Amino acid sequence: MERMLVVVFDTQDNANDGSHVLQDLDTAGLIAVHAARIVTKGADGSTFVNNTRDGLPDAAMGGTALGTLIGMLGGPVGLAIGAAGGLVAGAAADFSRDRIAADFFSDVERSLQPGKSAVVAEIDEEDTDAVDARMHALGGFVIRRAFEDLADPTWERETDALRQRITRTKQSIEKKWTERSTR
Amino acid sequence: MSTDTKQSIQDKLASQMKAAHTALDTLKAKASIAKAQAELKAITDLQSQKDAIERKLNDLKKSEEPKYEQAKTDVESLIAALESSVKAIEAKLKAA
Repeated sequence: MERMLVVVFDTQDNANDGSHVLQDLDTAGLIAVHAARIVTKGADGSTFVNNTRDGLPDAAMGGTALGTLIGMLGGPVGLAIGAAGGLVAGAAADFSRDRIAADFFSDVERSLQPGKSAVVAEIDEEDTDAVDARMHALGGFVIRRAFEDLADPTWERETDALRQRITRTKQSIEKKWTERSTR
Repeated sequence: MSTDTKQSIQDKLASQMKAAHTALDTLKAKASIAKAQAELKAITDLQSQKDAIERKLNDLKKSEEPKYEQAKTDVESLIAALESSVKAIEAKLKAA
């Protein structure tokens, strides 16, 4: 199952260890890590982002849910690419933002207090036990959300638009009838 | 939700779509004879909207829990809106 994973640690060293564990689990074939970064909240509330070993360049992160989450947390990736990349990247960022449920973002924001670091990743895992056991052993606090549990914004947008079109058609013909009857 | 229950829901919705398709064809013929241009335009719009609902119905058939329930509710409400519009035009053309 495709998931957004956030593991919050007390120190950046622990987050680095957590990132390595995630890559080890990927190498062992227990999970697949599509993209990952380490996000650190400075004591003054500023956000720093460090690369991991996933190999996905920052330029490819802008339209992803992960890039957008990092941008929402104050990091440079999602916002920078969304702003600089023009309409297409901006639309992709909007779509990704829709996919990150507000309650999930609130949980992450609440947990990632100044001075703490988090491993944030898009992963595919069948079972949560492997990640949970290894991250808890490192003192990590795990927050995850399956993408398929989130609302499908494309479906909702299309359905709403279609409903409005049907309503407008009915209203326009009723308006014509009213105009005719008052002549 | 069992596969049989889903099939039964989808059959009912497909049957409603077929009825709407037939009703729109009939209305289009009547409106053409009556040279009712405004009604003809509305019927053409509704036919295109019916096609879009049919695509949604196909998406519903492929969707899985937990999204299935919401998708079913959405398709049902779209069909109800379409049927309401068709009935309004039917009533008007009958009265004309």
